[in-house]
Amino acid sequence: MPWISLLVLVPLLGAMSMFAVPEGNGTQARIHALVAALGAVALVVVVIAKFDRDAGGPQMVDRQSWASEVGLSWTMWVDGISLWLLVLTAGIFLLAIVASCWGPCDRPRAYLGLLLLAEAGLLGLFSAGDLVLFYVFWEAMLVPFYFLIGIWGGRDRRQATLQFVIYTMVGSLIMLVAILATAYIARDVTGQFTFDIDQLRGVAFTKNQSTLLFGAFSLAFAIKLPLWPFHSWLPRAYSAAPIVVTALLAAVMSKAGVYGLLRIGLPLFPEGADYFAVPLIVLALVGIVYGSLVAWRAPTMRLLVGYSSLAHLGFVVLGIMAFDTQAAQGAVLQMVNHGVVVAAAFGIVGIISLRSGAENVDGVRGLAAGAPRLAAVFLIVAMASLAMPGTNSFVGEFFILTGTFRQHAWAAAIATIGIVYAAVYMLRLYQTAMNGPREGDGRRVELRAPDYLMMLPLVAVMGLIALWPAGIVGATTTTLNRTIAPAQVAAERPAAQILATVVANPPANALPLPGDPAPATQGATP
Amino acid sequence: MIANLAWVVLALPLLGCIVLGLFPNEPSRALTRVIGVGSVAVAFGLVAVIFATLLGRDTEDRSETSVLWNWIDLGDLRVDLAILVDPLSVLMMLVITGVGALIVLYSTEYMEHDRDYRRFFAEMDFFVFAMLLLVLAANFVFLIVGWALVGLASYLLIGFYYDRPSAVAAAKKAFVVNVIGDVGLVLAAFLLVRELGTLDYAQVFAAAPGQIGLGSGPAELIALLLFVGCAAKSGQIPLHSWLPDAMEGPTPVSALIHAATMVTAGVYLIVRCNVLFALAPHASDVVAITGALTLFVAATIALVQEDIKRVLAWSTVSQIGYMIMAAGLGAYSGAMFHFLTHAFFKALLFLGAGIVIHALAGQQSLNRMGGLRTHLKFVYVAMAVGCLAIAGVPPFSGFFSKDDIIASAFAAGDLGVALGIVAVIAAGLTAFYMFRMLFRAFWGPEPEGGYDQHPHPSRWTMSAPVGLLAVLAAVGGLLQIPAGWSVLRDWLEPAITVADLEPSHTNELIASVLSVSVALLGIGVAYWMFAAGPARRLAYADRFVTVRGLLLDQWRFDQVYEAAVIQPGRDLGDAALHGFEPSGSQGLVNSATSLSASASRGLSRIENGLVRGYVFAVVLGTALVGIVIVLGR
Amino acid sequence: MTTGASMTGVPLSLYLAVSGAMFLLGLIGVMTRRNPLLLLLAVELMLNSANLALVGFSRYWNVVDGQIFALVVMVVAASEVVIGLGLVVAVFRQRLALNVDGMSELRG
Repeated sequence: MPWISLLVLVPLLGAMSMFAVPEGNGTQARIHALVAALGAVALVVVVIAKFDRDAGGPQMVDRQSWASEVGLSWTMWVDGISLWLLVLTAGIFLLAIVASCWGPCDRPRAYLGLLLLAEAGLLGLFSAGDLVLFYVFWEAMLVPFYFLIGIWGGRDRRQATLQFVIYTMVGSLIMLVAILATAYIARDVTGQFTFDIDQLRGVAFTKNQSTLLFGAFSLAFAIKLPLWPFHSWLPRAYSAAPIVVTALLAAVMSKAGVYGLLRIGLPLFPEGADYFAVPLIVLALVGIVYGSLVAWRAPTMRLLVGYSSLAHLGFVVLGIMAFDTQAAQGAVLQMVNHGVVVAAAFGIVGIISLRSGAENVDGVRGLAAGAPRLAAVFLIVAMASLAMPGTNSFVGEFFILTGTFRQHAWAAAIATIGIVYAAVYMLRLYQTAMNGPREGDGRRVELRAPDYLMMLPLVAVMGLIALWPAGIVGATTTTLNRTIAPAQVAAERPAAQILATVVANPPANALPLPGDPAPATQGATP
Repeated sequence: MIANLAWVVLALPLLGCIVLGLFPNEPSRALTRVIGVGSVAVAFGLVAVIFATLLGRDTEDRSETSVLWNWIDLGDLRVDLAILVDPLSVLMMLVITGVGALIVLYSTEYMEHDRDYRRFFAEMDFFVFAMLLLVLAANFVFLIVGWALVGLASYLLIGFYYDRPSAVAAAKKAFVVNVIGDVGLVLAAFLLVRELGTLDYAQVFAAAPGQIGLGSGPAELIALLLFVGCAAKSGQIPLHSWLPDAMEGPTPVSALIHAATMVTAGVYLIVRCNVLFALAPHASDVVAITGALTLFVAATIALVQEDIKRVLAWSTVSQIGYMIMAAGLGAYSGAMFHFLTHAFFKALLFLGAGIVIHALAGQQSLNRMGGLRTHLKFVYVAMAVGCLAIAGVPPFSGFFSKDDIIASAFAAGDLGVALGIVAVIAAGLTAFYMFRMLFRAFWGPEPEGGYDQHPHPSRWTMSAPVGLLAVLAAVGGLLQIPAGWSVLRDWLEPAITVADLEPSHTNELIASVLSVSVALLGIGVAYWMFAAGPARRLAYADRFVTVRGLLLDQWRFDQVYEAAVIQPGRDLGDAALHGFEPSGSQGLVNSATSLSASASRGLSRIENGLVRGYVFAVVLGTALVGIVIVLGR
Repeated sequence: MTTGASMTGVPLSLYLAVSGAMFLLGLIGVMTRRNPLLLLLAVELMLNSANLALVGFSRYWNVVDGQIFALVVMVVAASEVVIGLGLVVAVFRQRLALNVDGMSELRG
């Protein structure tokens, strides 16, 4: 069974099926959406079950010819890096759809359809094994988000969407050029014209080519991430979008950029990655400190969580660009953690602001008295968000920083400023809303049954990862070692730290290409 | 077997916390009491079993590690969820669960007027669990986890009265300072991974002497960073100012967390990592000097406090300074000895103060007390025992442990002698401020306008723990008698692998004579000023206005932090939010948007809707193509 | 006359000259006229000039491809006229002035 393709198709079909729903029939639309989202989750469970945790390379490959004349193919697969992102995407989208189904929803048919379309786009992105396919999904997921923010958003939604789309488009167009350049240059090196990511691995680009291509790709990724200082679409889009969409942007879509770095940047252009490693680390560090400081002073709850997300993604980039196994595994773990935690954080912000009408951080006070259960869940989420040891985020950040410290001690030391400030801003969010004089009517915001349906799975996952991170990391180890090994070689790390062998492409015993200088041993060609 | 029992000990309070926390409705108070006290008390019983079992074994055989499961395996770094049961952790567990059980029992009466009864006990149980995890952890990762979780418990309990802004602010301060300490620990762990490639206690302590040179840069840095964690947790200068503010929490919390157990975690850590500190002589000197500085500064501040709990809080800071100083000088078992006696007498003092506060309907100011010894006779006697113990009057426990530290200091070279003299002076101050508190609360005239509420004696639930602790505070020092026996040192010997500093008999004699005479002097002055003639204190207060102001402002640490660290951070954040955000980074996106917008606006002008324009464009294009073809030939 | 079949009668250059002249006339018509009907006529003139050239070449090379293509062009021209006239009628019904310069709703 082509499980991975099926996984992408199920939400897509769910979105298409919305056309069959008569207009105004909200219930039927909700059922369609729930079935599709549940189907995706079920398929993800199958994928986890069938996944070989020790194999490093692509698994469950589904390769269909698409336009073979120009090297295009429908290549979908999963490996240790994408596995948990697929799980995260399917899980978070299910919760988002559940949350949207429960509440009042304007034009549910279109709204849920677009959500499913976005899910299909993201699932496709995380499983695409072909550069062009990657690009297609990269752009495709932008469309549903454009409409979701533009139609269902709040104040300033027009400008926010326009900015969001144009800005990301700038990056992705550069990426398109880079994709074509990669394929053409690689053809000259290997004699094979392909966009297949796995076959492009290890192609011997010259240092200049590698640097330029990595730069072009990473610009697109940096905008999507967002990495400081490319983050300015973030506050507007996060503020304008409906809260469910904001949660999706932060929890799932922000992983696209990081994923690109790991999937394409490091293994394909190790020398370029090495060239840009320290600059990117510096940007990530600035993002960590800057995001924390701004989150501390942010006026609204959403912006506070949004900017904290900027800081957290800085940690992930740090972990990837350190070219260290520990840091990279921490980074992948942290991607999942951040997705879960930020979704929960936006969920709580959504509950509070929806029921109390307050958007500002100091808009409500003293809720804990009336809403002790909300306070408890909020506390757990806040602690996870500030990476308190004992929570899941701690595991990720701790190993990101251990690995980074091994390579660049100064970077890890600066990043710890972000840990301290995280405590300051998360406590500001928690204490202002929950503590203080018992003036607010807390009972209004207390968790209700559907809220538990949303929050409990997230909290359970947090607890599971905190107690047994090996469950996540065990599946990613081999893949990650294989992924970062080229960059480690380029960065001349000690051999003891490089845990995978780097395969040359083209292999040393390959036949010469037409036009290549003939090897001396073969003598003169007739 | 022993380790399995230790897992149960660890699980019991956690279970108590979970059951209380998840109870669907408000459980009855009796049930809450049973679960809250029961989980800790049973844990204490099991710890006693562990202790007895270990006692029956050979000295070398007293340590056991147990792995629950492999927590994470990163290829070149493996961390297990594991605990280590050894004499040091068992000693800590005994204090945590023993004193903890007494204090939780005490709380059942103290908190009975509070509506969040269940939450209190759930959080207390959570604290006990976290503290047990801290001392039981077999590697640095779970040490850090426990370290942070006790911080969280402390945060929750300081902010227990969350509708009081001062409590909320104090909780936040405690949390943030603790996070700074966590960062120190975490950085130390990074260094350990880089240098040794492991975080497991056994492996680290075995490999460190060989792979990290004595006095080398990494060794000093590791010890210093570990000490940052200790300083934050144990209220050492310059990270001390959260601890007095932490008195916003209920009094049992202050007794358990901010006197007996959590704040001494720093001492535990230094003793646990004695191998690492022994490798770093300079860092150890820094530790000792910091301890001495703290014990002196805190003692001076305690002289002028008006709030009975703040007197005790500053005295805690000061007493932990003694332990830290001892640990820094290499007198590890001396530090642990003082930790033990301090846990007894400081918990006693806090619980006694709690009875007073409870009897006066929450009044904490010494100005609203006085003459209480006629009303609260039992507490008066117990508090007097506590004061005698902390002041170091023989044969009470504080005398032995404090003298051990001072004598060790005298044996530790020039620096030790200097610090020892500071410690002796502070011992006098300690005696003075403790008896100032005692005399002002229990002697002298009743306050003007009478008490806030007629003081009523407590029931057995509050009295029994106080009585028991009073006995322990009185006789606890007999564990270790100079020139007699040293039960504690022998017990801890397997855990302290480096040479423990042992004072000579001459040192001990000098220390005893000096400290006892200074302590008696302090008590005498306090009697003269507060008991014999209460009017004198006002006269002296007027005479030292400047010094008193400085002390009342707590040496103005908070003001300096506010001006030097917090406000600049706020300003920077505001500048980023209102300055850089709209123009700088927004500029990038704006330029991208406006560039594309203006480009399309310019191009759209060509599309003028006139047919002949389009035709002209076609002709022009054709001509251009023709020219290119012709020229290109 | 270097290749292809021998040619009797009218030489190719004359075909091309007439075709070019017709095309120019049509072009001038398209560019100067404002009445859509005349515009369509001018376009038809251009198409027919192209047809003439195609037929001329076809004859010159002695292959029928050009003639076939001329037929295709005729079909296209016919359908184009149908749509064009339909549009003209529609515009005529909407407003009376038949002026293509006025129909610039889609300008940028």
